[in-house]
Amino acid sequence: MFQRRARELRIEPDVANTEAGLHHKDNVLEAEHLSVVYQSSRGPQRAVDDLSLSIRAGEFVSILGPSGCGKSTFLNVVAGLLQPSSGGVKVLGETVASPRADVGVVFQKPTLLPWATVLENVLIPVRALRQDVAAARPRAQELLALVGLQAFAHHYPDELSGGMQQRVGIARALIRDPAILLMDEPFAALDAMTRERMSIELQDIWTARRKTVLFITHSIPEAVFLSDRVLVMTPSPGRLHAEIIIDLPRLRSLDSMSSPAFGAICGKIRRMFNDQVKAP
Amino acid sequence: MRNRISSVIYPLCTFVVLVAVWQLSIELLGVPDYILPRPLAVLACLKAGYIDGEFWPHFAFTLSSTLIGYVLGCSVAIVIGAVLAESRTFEKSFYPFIVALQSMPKVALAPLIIVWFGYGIWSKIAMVALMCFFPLFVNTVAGIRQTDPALLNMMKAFSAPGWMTFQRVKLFAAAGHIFAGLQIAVVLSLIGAVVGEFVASSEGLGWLIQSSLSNFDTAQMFAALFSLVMIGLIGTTAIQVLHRRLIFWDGNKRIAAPAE
Ligand SMILES: Nc1ncnc2c1ncn2[C@@H]1O[C@H](COP(=O)(O)OP(=O)(O)OP(=O)(O)O)[C@@H](O)[C@H]1O
Ligand SMILES: [Mg+2]
Repeated sequence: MFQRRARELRIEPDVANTEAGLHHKDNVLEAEHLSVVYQSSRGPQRAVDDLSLSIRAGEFVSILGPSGCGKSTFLNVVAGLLQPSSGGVKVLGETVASPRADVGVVFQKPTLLPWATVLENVLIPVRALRQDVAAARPRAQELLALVGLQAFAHHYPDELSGGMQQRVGIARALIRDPAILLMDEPFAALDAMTRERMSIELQDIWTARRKTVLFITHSIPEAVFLSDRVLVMTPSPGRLHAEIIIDLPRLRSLDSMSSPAFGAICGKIRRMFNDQVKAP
Repeated sequence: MRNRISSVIYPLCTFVVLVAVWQLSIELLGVPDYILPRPLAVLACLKAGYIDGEFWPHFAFTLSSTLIGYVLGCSVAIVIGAVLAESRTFEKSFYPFIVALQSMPKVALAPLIIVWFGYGIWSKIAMVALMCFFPLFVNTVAGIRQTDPALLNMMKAFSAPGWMTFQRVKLFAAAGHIFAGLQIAVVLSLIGAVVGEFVASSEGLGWLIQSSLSNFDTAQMFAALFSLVMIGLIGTTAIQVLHRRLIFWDGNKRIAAPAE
């Protein structure tokens, strides 16, 4: 039923989305009847149930859902780190079987190598594919400048604050210029102030690089602020509950967060969550 | 700076006081020389040994067998440990045996090792290597195993090949544990060298101690003992300095090492 509603809600992509690239109108990412069942000691456990969704090129899509509803599980399947039990995920038309070169991942924790400099950490994905590291260095510097860390290229991660480390993680995910950026609660470990600042920076990066972004978060305002579209998942096992198109004008500023329109969308999503909890 | 000076001065004072008490109590209580030598007699023996030169061959013998055995035993252990930690098949086939061997008192093997490697330096090297092997092996395996799974997942997400994950992540993650093993191995290697010399040898500081027994030359025993302490101290300090220089990233986190 929600499938139908979701389809009804779908509108033509806005200007920002259509000018994004080669895959005009095409879906960069498609999940089809995706289910993931974990085999745990307490028997099989369904984490994702019949999830179908698609994301267009250049679109910023957030997934919102209660803890344990299978968001990370879904993201791991898209990243090629986890095999689905049935259904599948297609990236640029190809079924994902293993991690792809054109997908960048930003993790919840920065997960930087403590023994490598910031620059070396950003270059890890280049090394991983045995590409020319020397040639990628200027690009890495450029990305560090983009995330405001050009002065820290030769520092070690433990000399950086949590927010700075997370930005290194974003630069690292961008180094191979991936078509898709997957972000699993990338700002969850940060304090509220840093978090807001990071949202603005991420919006800047997204505006500059026009990536397709799949963003997972617990924060309704964060999702509304950043996204073209917010997907709400049901509690475990995760299913698509609703899709909300965020038609607030770009570029959004922190002030836009206090606008009535912003508040109305957040309120609508919050009510959706409350209804879920009440539902049997 | 002040701290640095006091960390030299204080132990030095303690040392001087202890030696004075030692010398005095012998004078006052009349302990015979063959039970406890006077510090001055030990000093005279050290002077005779190292300035006139008759200690040097023994010192060199023990030092070289310890060093060669240490490097050999430690490197073999690190390689085997790494292979075992990386390969399930290897692990399943060999790990139980290595653990069983570990619980055996290694010094009990000394006579066998003499039989296999002869009376010369090679049996001492083998003994030292055997003593060093286990702490390094166990720590390498443990160190690689405790690599942060989040880092491994990250490497996988970026399609890093296994050898690269090993070389750039696991080895570094295990480095702290490996250094803890290297630290214990310094002391164990000296035990190995001395035991080897006790069982069968014609030179070395351990042999010097044993041969002093025939004429109750306790001053010479102490002089040789002091030499062994110096080797151990210098070795331990060198490893500590290397540890601090190389493993800069885990700051003052100390890694507990399993004791032998
Ligand atoms: N390796 C695993 N083995 C067994 N069950 C698992 C495993 N990983 C996750 N699960 C289960 O699958 C469900 C979904 O987990 P997942 O981590 O995807 O949730 P999530 O939506 O990301 O939650 P959160 O918002 O707290 O990060 C949970 O109920 C969890 O208990
Ligand atoms: Mg999660």
